[in-house]
Amino acid sequence: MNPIPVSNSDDLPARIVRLIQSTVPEASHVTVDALTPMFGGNARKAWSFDLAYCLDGRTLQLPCVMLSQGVGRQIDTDVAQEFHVLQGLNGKGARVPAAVAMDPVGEIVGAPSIVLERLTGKASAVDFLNAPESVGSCLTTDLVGVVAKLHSVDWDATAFDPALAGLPPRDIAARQVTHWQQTFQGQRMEPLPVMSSLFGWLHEHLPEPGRICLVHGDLRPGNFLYEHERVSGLLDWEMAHLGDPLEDLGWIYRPLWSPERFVPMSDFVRRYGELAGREIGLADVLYYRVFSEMKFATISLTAARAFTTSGTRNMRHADRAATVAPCLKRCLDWIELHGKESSHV
Amino acid sequence: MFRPTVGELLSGITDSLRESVMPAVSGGAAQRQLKAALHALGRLQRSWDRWPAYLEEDNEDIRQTLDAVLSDLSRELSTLPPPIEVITSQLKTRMSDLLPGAPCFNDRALSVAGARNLELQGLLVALDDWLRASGQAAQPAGKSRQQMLDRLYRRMTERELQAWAIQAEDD
Repeated sequence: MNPIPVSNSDDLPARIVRLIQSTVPEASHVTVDALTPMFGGNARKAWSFDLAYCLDGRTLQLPCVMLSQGVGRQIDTDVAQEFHVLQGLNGKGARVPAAVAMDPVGEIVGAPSIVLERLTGKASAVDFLNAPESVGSCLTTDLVGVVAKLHSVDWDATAFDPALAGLPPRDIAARQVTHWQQTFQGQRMEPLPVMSSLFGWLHEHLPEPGRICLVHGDLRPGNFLYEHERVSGLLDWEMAHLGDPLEDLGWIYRPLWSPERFVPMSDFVRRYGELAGREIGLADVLYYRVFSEMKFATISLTAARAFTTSGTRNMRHADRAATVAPCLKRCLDWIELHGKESSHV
Repeated sequence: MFRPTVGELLSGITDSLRESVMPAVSGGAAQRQLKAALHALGRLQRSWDRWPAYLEEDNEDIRQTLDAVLSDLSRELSTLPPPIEVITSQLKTRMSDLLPGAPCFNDRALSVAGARNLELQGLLVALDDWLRASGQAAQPAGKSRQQMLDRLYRRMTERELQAWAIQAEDD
């Protein structure tokens, strides 16, 4: 079947039925109802629908969401990897949607797509960050537990990615620095010596990971669902990978979307350490704050390049390069603190 | 004659779009695009005239710092390693004078300054990479050279913040 633009939804229900049948061949009477577009941008489109099918004489019903990749993406991701990550987390106590079906190259749906359980709650970052302090504090405190639980799930590194076979934890953690450094080198439009040097610093000061675990990679307001005062599920697993769990902590507290107003980062880290059963040093936290700024700056450069070279006409990317200097200033400030903290230790 | 200035034009265009076009665009992708365009126009209006001075100051600062670090290295090492010789030679040659200018400039002098900035940035990256890879940065003398570079990086970052007219952390 020829791929179709996935936004052409005339026969999308039939295509989703075929996708479910290909994933669960023993299912019969598969129906897709109430198919509704949820959001759609250059990067990703989403539909909600109600799935029902018969299996082993029982009728199963599941509210679902289908996520399909668009063309204007700022990061390279793999829907198959995202799907396998969720499959691996299902049944392990992590608050994540059930992985239902996958079309890794879009041969059925028209674009690489995954079908997931539709959880309840809303994901609005703006609403979360503007929530009353009592609500925001409860949600952020709940988030600590959700993150600690996610990081406690055991993974077989080799099964996750054969390239990790035999690598010591430090080398696995270092792969993220290398990944973002290489992305930076491939996307920059000028040499950018400050960033280049900061990647050197990241390589030289990589802390020994206390644990290697599944890192969400983009954990922030907007990427988790919440309902009342409870986090109902973590979303958007495109950047998940094995690495140092402190990566997620640094990313959650990036200044642009930080829940610092509700729970100071030091309290979040202390509570996380209690739940994870280990002490977390300030120098290590500072390291991953620097890493997070470099990652964000690299994504900004990627967006700026895409806009300049006509890869995207999304105007939000027009002056994304302007966000780089504030990231670098924070890095330089935190590296100074890191130096003092390390010499103190 | 220079009135209306570029800043006045950008300001007028921004106001006009905000007051007369924005109300006619209700929600959706078009409104998001317009809001983002207004944000970018606002930054251009605040920063358009800062770039010549920025490039001039940045070029001179990078050149002086490179010169100081390279001089320091040449005093310490009896023979300069080939990568350092190349950097030293390129710093003096000013290849950017001979090459086409940086893209999308209209003024030739500014275009040359942009090209020179790209060249100096490249030399700085090469020097920093060499210092780290050679283990120089770990030596006592190397530490002081690295500190010279680190101080430069902070000045460069502060200049960029000024040049981009960054008003707040989330700007």
